[in-house]
Amino acid sequence: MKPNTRMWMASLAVLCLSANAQDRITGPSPSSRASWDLFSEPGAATAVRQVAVSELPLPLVVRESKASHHRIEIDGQSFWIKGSQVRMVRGSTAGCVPAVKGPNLTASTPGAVKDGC
Amino acid sequence: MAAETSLLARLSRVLLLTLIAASLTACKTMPEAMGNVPFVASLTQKERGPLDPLPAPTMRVWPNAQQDVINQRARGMGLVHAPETRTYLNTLYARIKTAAGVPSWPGEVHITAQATLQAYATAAGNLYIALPWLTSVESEDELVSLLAHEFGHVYLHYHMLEGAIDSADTTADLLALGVALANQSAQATGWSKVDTLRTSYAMAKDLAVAFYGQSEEIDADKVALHLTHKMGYSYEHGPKAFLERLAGWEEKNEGISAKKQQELLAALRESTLAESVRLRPKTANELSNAVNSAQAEVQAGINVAGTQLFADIGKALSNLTSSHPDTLKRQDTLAKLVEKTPELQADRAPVTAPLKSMLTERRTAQVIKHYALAFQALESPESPQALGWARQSITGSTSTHLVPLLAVFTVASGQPRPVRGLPTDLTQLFEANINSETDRAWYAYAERISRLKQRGQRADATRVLQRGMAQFAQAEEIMPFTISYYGETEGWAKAKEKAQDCGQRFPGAKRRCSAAALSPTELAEIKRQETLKADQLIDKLKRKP
Repeated sequence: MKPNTRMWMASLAVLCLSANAQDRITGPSPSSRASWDLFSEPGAATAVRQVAVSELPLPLVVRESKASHHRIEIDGQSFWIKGSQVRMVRGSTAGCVPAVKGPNLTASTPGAVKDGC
Repeated sequence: MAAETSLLARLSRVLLLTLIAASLTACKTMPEAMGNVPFVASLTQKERGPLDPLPAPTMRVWPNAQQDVINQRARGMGLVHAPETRTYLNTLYARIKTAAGVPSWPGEVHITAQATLQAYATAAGNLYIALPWLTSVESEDELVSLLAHEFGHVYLHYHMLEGAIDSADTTADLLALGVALANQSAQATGWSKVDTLRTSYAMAKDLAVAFYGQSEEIDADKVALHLTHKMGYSYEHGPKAFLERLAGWEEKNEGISAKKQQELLAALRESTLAESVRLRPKTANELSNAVNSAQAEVQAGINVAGTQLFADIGKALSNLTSSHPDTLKRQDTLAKLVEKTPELQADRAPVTAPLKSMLTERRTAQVIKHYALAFQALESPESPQALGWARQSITGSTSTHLVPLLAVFTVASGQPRPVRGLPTDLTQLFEANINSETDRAWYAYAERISRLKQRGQRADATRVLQRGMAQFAQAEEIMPFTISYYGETEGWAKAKEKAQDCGQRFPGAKRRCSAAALSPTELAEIKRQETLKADQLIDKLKRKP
């Protein structure tokens, strides 16, 4: 295998597995949750602060993710928030290409998503 | 404006009443048929904990899995031949089946040649996932959640819905036929009770399917949550990330469809203006011309407003009758289950190494790269780089794949002069796909047949069709196309014979086959009747206070 091909494959894998660079926190999980626990570091036993969901401007940009926590910034200060307490919108490599005809599906071929494009 | 608002209110009222009538009809018919579907009652009425064992699966007759694959090759753009990728996916699928206690069940994972985030399961136990899933998921946890969700549909045997819909369709057909005959003798014209009945029936079916489908998706999510946890994967990186990915895709799609609608409305406005100018007599009188022009503007505005109004109603109805519940509802359902189950909240590191290894495997990496180039070329065929992207996409392991060949065909067709190294008859490019045992897709045959027919090479077109029918003999998906072809080339009586044969061989495709056997005259008459009825309905609504 040529070195440049190897490099391309490695960068493809890195690109594919780091899609969370574009991820955003759009709300609490479940949506009935009223407050979030904020931590000084991922996996810390106790929260340094609790904040009402309504007080934060959504969406929140995820700066970094580690150990099931996401780093966010509030008023210039970094905090870690538990992944299970937030709802995110994640990006994908998918798109709508009009020339690519979609499969003709019926109600009896249940899929994971609503109709495509 | 006030008149339009009033029309909207009346239309909404009528639709609401129809929906109520529809749900009443549904109570009598669909649930009865669906009552035979296993697990519906057990999963939707009695809440199971996410760690409780899955309900025992029912015995079933499995459709032929290989035949099912051939049928999928006839859908859309066919399947992607990537054996190493599929080996990895099938290893995961085998582990899912083992975790569910059904290791010997048939079915494999296949990759569809789509640019979207499509995924579906069939009654044969096969799972079909679109290529972009592989480069979108961030961990094996998420990939297994997608597969486990699709497997959930198979495990819960929701494909029995197909039979329920088919039998209901037959009943409706007979009912409609009987009333139509009675009406013929009474010389009934216009919007009649039959139409109301038909509309109610159609909506009842959609509603029943929607209610059923929405609970089905949530149940499949629950199966995925149960199995992924049992297999050692994390909730956060697995089922939760999977649903968040779907939410992102839906958000992207909503933006695309809003843009499309705006473009459609602009085009409609333009065409109305042009039509008004064409129809109105030109006069030398400047004032008359100004009035005519103003009237054309008003007419265009009314048309656009009317279309917008129907689009809004359509959107509301499609949300109501969608077979998928809101992703937010699905996310909340799982989040609440996890909140109540401490075991599911445990931090588990995502599994990424095997996924990374699969993505860097030589052929897989090349397939992903070449499809990305082909999609890019198809998206912007006029770009100066498009031909280069397309040509690169048909090298190496994807030289006989349909989507890369379509990219070359599309881009080369738009070039001002023949492209060096490519056949003069560009449809010959599809022969590479047609001749490939592993990559063959029905789309290649259909494209080649249509172009040959357009050029008057009927004998050649028929030969390609016959070759295709030999390869796809067991695929119901090709039937409507072949029936139409026979209708156009050998007469609509022959097409109707073929449609009858199709209905007997493939009951699920009966309606589509019958529709394909309608001659242009019959279709024009149906359209005329539909337009007449729509006009009558609108007139009726406008008249009533």
